[in-house]
Amino acid sequence: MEKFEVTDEILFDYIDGTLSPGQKERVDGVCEKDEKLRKRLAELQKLDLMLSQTTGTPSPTFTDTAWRRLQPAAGRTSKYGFNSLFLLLGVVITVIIGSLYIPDGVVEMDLAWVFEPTENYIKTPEIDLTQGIDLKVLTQGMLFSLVILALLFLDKALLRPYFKKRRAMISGL
Amino acid sequence: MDHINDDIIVDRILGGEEELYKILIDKYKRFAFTLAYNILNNSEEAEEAAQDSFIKAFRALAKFNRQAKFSTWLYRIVSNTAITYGRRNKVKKEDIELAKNISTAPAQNLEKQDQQRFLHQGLSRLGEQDRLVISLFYLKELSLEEIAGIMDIKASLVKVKLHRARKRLANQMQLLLREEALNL
Repeated sequence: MEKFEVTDEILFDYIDGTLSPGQKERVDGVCEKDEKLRKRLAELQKLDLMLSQTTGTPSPTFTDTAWRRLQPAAGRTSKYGFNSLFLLLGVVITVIIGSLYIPDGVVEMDLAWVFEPTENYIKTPEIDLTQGIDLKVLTQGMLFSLVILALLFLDKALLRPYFKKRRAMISGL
Repeated sequence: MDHINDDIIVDRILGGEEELYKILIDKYKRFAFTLAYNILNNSEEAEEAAQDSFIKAFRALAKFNRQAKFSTWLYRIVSNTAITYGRRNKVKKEDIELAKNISTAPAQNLEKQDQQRFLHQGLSRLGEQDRLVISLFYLKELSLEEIAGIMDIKASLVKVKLHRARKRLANQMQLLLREEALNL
């Protein structure tokens, strides 16, 4: 039969209660015959008990002191603070201004001054850069993206915290 | 259930009800203090480190990602803070006020107080990691996986480290008892 060596590790598993019933029985059997091992087990069990009973007691003013020390930090925890609100406001204003200044939904792009050839430059064939780009689709796409962004910020800055708070209040503490 | 409650409290704190943080301090101060005390072996430093940990946790609350329980996240902060404190004050101080701060049994039970004194002397002779793994395990609050998360090691290593640390502690305790006997 294979020799069952009981190491300190096995004794700790025995103490922690993580051995299988079969292994536990074998440890019991070995300890019964081996006095030295029995003594070691008792030592480790005592150590385990001492460690289990170690619970520190902080001072009675612990919470108040910690809270007092926390005060300068308070007010800076909110995930959805004023920054988000300002950002949201900025996006909304941008969308409104954008909508007002683009009545036809098309941006008037006069790029002639950029590409106007001067006498010093070598004459190049005239190219219409806007040809092939549907500016109406581009503008509407940009506006649409801004609206989506605005809605996302609205959700993150206002709706989510509001509903979380409500859910927390309903669930109670 | 407690975990869910903690999440609700955290949500409400982030929603502006900061006073509710006192509930979390009250709930975890004993564990935080015990953990810091086992690492630092000095009650005043442990109290300061535990309080600092609560302050750090409060400031970082918005970054708490809920993948772990609030308590696990907090214990990680406490461990790191206490270890930093310990490194800063390398000169080890014997805590002569141990009996006043460690409540293991009725105050008049001197034998138990002596045992605790020996235990903390033994713990102070161990390395940082040994003290940490023992302290976390004996909080009786955390699974091996959670301890692994706090210590930033693989879960399979926790048990090995714990066994080794306890073995070293048992040996240190024996040494201490022998030294004590020689001094008598």
